[in-house]
Amino acid sequence: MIRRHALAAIVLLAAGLLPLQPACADPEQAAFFESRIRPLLVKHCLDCHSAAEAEGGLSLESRAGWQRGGDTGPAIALDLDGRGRVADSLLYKAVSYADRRIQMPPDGRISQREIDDLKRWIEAGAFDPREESATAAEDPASRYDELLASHWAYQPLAPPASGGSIDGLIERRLRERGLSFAAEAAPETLVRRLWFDLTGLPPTPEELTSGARLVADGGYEQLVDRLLASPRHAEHFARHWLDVARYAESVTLRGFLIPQAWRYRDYVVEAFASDMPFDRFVREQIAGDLVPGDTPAAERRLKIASSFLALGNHNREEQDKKLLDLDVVDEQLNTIGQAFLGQTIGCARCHDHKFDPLSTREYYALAGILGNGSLHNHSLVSEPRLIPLPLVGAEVATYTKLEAELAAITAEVDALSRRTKHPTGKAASSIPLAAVNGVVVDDAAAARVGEWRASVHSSPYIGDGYLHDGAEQPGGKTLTFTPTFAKAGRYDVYLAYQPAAGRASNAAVSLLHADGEFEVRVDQRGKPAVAGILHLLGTFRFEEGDQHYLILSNEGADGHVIADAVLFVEAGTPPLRPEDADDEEGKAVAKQLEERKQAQKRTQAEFAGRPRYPGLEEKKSLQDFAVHVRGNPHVTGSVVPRGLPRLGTPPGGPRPAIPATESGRRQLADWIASPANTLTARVMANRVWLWLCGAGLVRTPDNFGTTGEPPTHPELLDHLAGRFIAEGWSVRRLVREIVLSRTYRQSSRPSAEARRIDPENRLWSHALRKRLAAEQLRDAVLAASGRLSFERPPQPTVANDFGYVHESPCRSLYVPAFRNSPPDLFTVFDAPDAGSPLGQRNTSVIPTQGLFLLNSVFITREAEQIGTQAAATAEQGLADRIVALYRRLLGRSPRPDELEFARRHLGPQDDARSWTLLAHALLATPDFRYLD
Amino acid sequence: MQPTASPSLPATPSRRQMLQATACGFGGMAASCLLAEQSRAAAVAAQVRARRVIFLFMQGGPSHVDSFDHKPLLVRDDGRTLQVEDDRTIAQKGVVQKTERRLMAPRWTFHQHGAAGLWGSDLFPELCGVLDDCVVMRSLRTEGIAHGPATLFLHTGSTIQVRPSMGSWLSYGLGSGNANLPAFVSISPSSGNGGARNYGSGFLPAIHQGTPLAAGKAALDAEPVKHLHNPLRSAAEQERLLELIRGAERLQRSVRADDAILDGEIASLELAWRMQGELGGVLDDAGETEETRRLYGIDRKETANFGRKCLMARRLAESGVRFIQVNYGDNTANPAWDQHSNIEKHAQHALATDRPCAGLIRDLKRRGLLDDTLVWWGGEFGRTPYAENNGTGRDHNPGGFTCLLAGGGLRAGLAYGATDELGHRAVEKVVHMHDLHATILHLMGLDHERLTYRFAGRDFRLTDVHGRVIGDIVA
Repeated sequence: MIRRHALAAIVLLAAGLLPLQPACADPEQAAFFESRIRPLLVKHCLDCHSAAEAEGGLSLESRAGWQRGGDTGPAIALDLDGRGRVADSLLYKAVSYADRRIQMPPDGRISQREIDDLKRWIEAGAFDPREESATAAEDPASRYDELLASHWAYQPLAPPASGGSIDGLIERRLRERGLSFAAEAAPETLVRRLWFDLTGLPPTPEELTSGARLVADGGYEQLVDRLLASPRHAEHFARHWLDVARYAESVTLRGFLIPQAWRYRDYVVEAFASDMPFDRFVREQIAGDLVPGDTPAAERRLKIASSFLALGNHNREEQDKKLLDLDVVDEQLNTIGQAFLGQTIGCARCHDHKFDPLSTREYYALAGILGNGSLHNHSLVSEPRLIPLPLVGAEVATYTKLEAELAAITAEVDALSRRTKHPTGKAASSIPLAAVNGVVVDDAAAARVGEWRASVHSSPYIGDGYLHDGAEQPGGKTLTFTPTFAKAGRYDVYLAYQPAAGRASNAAVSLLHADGEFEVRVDQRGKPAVAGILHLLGTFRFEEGDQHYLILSNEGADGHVIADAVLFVEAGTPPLRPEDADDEEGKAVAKQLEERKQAQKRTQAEFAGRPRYPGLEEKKSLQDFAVHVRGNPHVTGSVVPRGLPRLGTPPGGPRPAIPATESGRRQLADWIASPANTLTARVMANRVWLWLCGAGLVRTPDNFGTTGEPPTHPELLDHLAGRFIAEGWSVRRLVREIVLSRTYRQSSRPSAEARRIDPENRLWSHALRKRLAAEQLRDAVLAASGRLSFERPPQPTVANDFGYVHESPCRSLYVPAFRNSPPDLFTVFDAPDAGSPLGQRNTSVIPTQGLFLLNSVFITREAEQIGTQAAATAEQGLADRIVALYRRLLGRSPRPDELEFARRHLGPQDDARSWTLLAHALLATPDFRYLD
Repeated sequence: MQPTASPSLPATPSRRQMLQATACGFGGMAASCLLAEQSRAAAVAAQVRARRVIFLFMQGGPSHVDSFDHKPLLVRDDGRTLQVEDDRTIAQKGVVQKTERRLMAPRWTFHQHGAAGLWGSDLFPELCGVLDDCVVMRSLRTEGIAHGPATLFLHTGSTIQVRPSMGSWLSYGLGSGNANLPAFVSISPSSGNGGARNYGSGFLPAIHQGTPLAAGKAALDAEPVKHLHNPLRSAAEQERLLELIRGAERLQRSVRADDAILDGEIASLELAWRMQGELGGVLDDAGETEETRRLYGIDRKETANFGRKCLMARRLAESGVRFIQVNYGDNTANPAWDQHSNIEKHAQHALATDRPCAGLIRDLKRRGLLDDTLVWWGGEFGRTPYAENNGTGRDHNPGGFTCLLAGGGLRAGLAYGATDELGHRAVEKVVHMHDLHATILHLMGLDHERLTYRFAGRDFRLTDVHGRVIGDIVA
């Protein structure tokens, strides 16, 4: 029978039709399939693996379904002669639960009888009469050509219309709907709006007055140019960009810092201050580190720019380091996609993008580019790479000198360490526990598993002798030393043992410290460096009250395992007290060593300040990525050459080729920064419009894909994007064009008509009223009290960001951007969590904001400051003082009823208390935090 | 949003409108809010069995083989070495391979309890006394071998991405039962292992964020909610301040016709003011009887701290809060239940929590609240049946562990699913954490596949693309 099938198969193979089910079914096999296999598949498999569901791409609903297979290949392997290869069949592997990576069904193994049935069925050739229905699962990729040709954001920019202008294009749409522009806002309103929109800060009362006069006299443009030239403008726009760059200086898990990330923040400020062309800004952030700079300073700026790729909120604790690497690449692609292209690239990690034209292969072509850079040094808890920056100016001398000094001191320390002798001398055999300079866990206090024997044969020893395992039952004996720390900190850990020839050369030590587990094999035949019995395992961090222990085991030991004690000595201090030294020379050496070690520590600390940047290190040998099935790093499919996706490039447009000698990151940057890219200029022009007007022309600023909103004014968006490119990608000119427009200068009061026809103000018949962002709100409060400082505070020297207390009155931009401990005001007023790029902030209205405004120490203290100052101006008339307070806090004079209201409150007492309460009340009112 | 009236405090129309304004934001948000309402309405389809959840989070991973998963073979084979697939080794190496480990028998003796005869050990004598009211879920699996990822997964269904916490999803789906209180409260959350993200609203509107009580080192009776009181002012002065704000707002409002934004802001401040009063009252447990205090162990030094938190949970539940999490843990990298060495230390944690947890279940039951309150007791994973190299502790075990569920429309007195004969891997009726999430939403009357939120171009769910409701445990 099998012969016959084989013949049939060969015939079919020749006809190019293999493998189809032989037409002539054996009745016995048909019966077996119907009675045993079909019910089994229905019962256990088809819920998830039918043509409609097809999890993992696999349908078991038809023969064609399992032949085609899922992401990991055909479900059943058949020989050419039609016989099944059970061992190679994924279906069998999955149901037998032999491989942890594929176990099906997921909720438990099917019965042994059922497994045997499947085995028998596969062996006999997996007879299956079921045919695929006509409505096989549709491939999303089949729509990609159509999407690329039709979706607005993938089409080239419309050529500039003659006479096109912001106001012309806005007004045309308004007219169509029977609306018109609102009147221009009042001069003081415009001044306050311009100050906040361009610098993020309120005008001082004097600036308010002089600015309003200038505007009334036709000097609006002059005022705009003055503000654009201010360093405050660069700081404010830098903050906008930092939202997009998901900027932070620490990660969530365990609050680890991203050291020196602040350099990137300062780079962004400089970029806006110098009006760096945006295409260059893009190139530098994606691939600045790969481009040589003309000068050390330029090279340095370029490298710092690329820290953009290192700011993600990564899980450094992930134990599957391959997965961590892949997650890093995915995060970078997501960020690049959303920040520059308005595309949700990450969706294609596990499957072809369901909505936008981006296949999984294109995703891995991009992933291959970034995958050639590594961001972490892997260990139990991976560390971000900190790459030295070129030194500039005085740094060159400073750090060259420090480096030499450090080398010299280290050499001295080594030499002195070799000279230190056992401080107790030969006479004493026992070193009392009291002589130990730190936490000591003696062998007597260790928890024992297995039989350990006491001995005093070799000396000296700590306490009353030591233990050994008798060189028996390797793997059967352990000692656990559990220290108790009165104080958290870094400790030198010593294992005390008495060396001899018959000892184990490989005693297994494992140490749980605050940052993870440290495992090492100790050669107990060799003589320890300190006092002949103290072997330094290393320096580790420990936490007070936390669980820490050291385990000594005889697992795999090739000799006697010895345990005397474990010492935890504050880092850098000698383990044994020098008083116990019995000879003058030893004392002198010990003293000198101690002094040099301190010097070493100081120099190391100084050297740690050497400028570095968190960034990518390109791998030496470049590789392409394989498709990772369902995003799983351990199940890979075919390798995809590095390359750029189709979307964003119009037909015939340039897509730079990636030479074999480069990762492709430079080409990726060039492709994004190209004027031909249909997305980049549009996405940025829309962001700038949003930053100034409060909402974008595309109201989903990070999503220009098919699930995002289309632009309300496509011609205007293209006009702005086209001008942006034509004007050399100057952000400042773009800003200028927008704020000079009549559209921007309108009043924020809608007409009744506008409210009815266009409640969301998508037509821009008036200006949107905006709420101050968290940073602006904080800066405005500090500006009102006069405490705001533009100095950068010193970088915090903390090990993690938990519980960090923000006290500096510095500008919010310079507040350490800690993911776990932002200032309370930031938390309640919707500051971003820096998890992914954020083009538009939330503006939630929640009671915790009210609680903060009513009760926080911050608001109360600043109100007191303002109130005390206001009360101290008693030489002026009461009305003038009230007017001054309103102008200082709300950027406008009080209306008559407000003046009367304040006057009544202040009453005859007119004291600091009353002024404080009035100031507090105004800080808490909507007019303080809204911008008309 | 569909604010559901609590039995004691029906929401007045003005409060309802106010919640609408505050929950949905304004202006450009209106459309997405409408969308959200639709998807929420669609999600409320199933029968409502539980109206609130109290989650007693045992942070660090309590050992199931020492508590509620009885394995006679493990007792018999104490000390035997065997080849196992250890999750940590596999995660580190990236390949499935076996390593040699030594079995460690439970340190506590198991007995059968109650009418249903469910197994439990001497580690939790009080909880064993209420097993007839529980479903013992013995076949859990989760994601993440380290505390950080596994803790985030437990709360949000994702090990790394910023996603809404389960309480936020419930707040989003059901609203608050009390217009003066938040829908989601977390008592003494740890700042470690994901910290605020474990009660964060992710991309959901911020009103759904959990309100932390007694966060960080704050004691329960110091300032459980941030900024609930002004430490620098007298109450009389604050009254005066509020009157001033109201006056100033009224004048600002008078020059703007029909301004929803301003109305929303003003309403929100008023809610803050009322919350200040109401939450203070809920948190003040002075009116509780001595007998009730004893029930929670507040009369004893060892149990007083956690007992007060459990009592607080009941009081919040009565006041209409939807999701109340009570945390037993700390901020370290190796939180409370994380006994890598010296498993006997479990006794200390059990002592601190056993009576309060059981007391809460008993108290809810006698007040008739257990019928529509779901109590969930458990950690982010379990522990291995074999010992660490030190021979005295157990490592993390995300591949098989146990949690307890009580009340809320469950088939009480049931043990569901099983691990293998040693308690290592869940093998029978496996319940993935996604499935547990789906089931809890189901008990609350929500369909986990339809409770979605559109963000960054796609619809998100608590259960991502996974999860199935475990119908067998539902009454």
